Amino acid sequence: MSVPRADLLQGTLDLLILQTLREAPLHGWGISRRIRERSKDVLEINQGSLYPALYRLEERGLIVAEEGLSEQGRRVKVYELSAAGKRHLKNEVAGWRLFSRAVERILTPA
Amino acid sequence: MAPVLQSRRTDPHTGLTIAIVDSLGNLARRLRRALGRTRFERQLDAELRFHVDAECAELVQRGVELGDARRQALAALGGMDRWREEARDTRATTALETLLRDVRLSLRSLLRSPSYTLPVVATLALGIGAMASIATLAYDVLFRPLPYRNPGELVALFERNVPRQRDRNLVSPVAVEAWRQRSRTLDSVSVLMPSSRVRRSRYCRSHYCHRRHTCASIAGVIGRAKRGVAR
Repeated sequence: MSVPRADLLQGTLDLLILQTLREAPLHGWGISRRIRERSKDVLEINQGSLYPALYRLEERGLIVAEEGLSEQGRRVKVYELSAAGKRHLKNEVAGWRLFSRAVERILTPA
Repeated sequence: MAPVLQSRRTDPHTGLTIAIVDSLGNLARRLRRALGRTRFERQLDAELRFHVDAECAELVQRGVELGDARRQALAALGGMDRWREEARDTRATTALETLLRDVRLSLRSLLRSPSYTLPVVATLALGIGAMASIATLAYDVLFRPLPYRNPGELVALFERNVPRQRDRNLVSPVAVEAWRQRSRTLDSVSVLMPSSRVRRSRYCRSHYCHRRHTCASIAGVIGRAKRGVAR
């Protein structure tokens, strides 16, 4: 794999997790894999920080965890976006767009 | 990849009530976790094992040898123990768990040494009891509003006898009548007589109560005379 990897900016992990869960409920490993896929291997979630982030989000009520079954039929914790999480995500996405547009404008030579 | 989900939780509506319900649910969840710690640990371990297995399986699928795949999967997670601790610390329940543990420990050590516990408990009980009585008394004597309507507007008038150098003269009915008619600041005026001349009621047990009740009975005699009381 020779794809150049980008480091995650501080605070973007939560955003990525929430956005991933917006599409469908997933278990922890599924989330990390989905983010890798969607970013075409550019973003690699540090898996050691994925689960603490998930627990943090659950603690804040932005996602809810339920017992579910994996494709292999194993019992796993499946995470799902809560209503509060949806609202939060909407704000975060708007904030991120604003931020990235501003940075892009600065990076683009006038 | 097809996400699999067996059970769903219904989305709550928006609004204040839901916020309260949410926070109650939050509290309940935390308590449940604090008390059912082992269950959480089990879930955590299961989640971890699943992650490593899934990662490993994918690596094998890509052609990595099984042993290497497992090592790589574990390494990617950054060592299970490290982040397991981190995940535990992330949960706000940790503080609650610590508190519960501390309370349990204190109770146990207190029970172990009754020669220390008993005097302490007795001292605390005495202190709290004394404080409570003093507070009750202070409230009754100092703070409790008088049991009348608009107690803040009650005033006491006294007549001073200058020639005889007496601070409190027995006011003559004529003087009271004059106050009643000419006063522009008092709504009404009533007289408080020496206790021997006032009908005692069942409320008059102590001197303190007796004085208060004398006033009250006057207010009753005057009807709705709630503003001025002369004595």
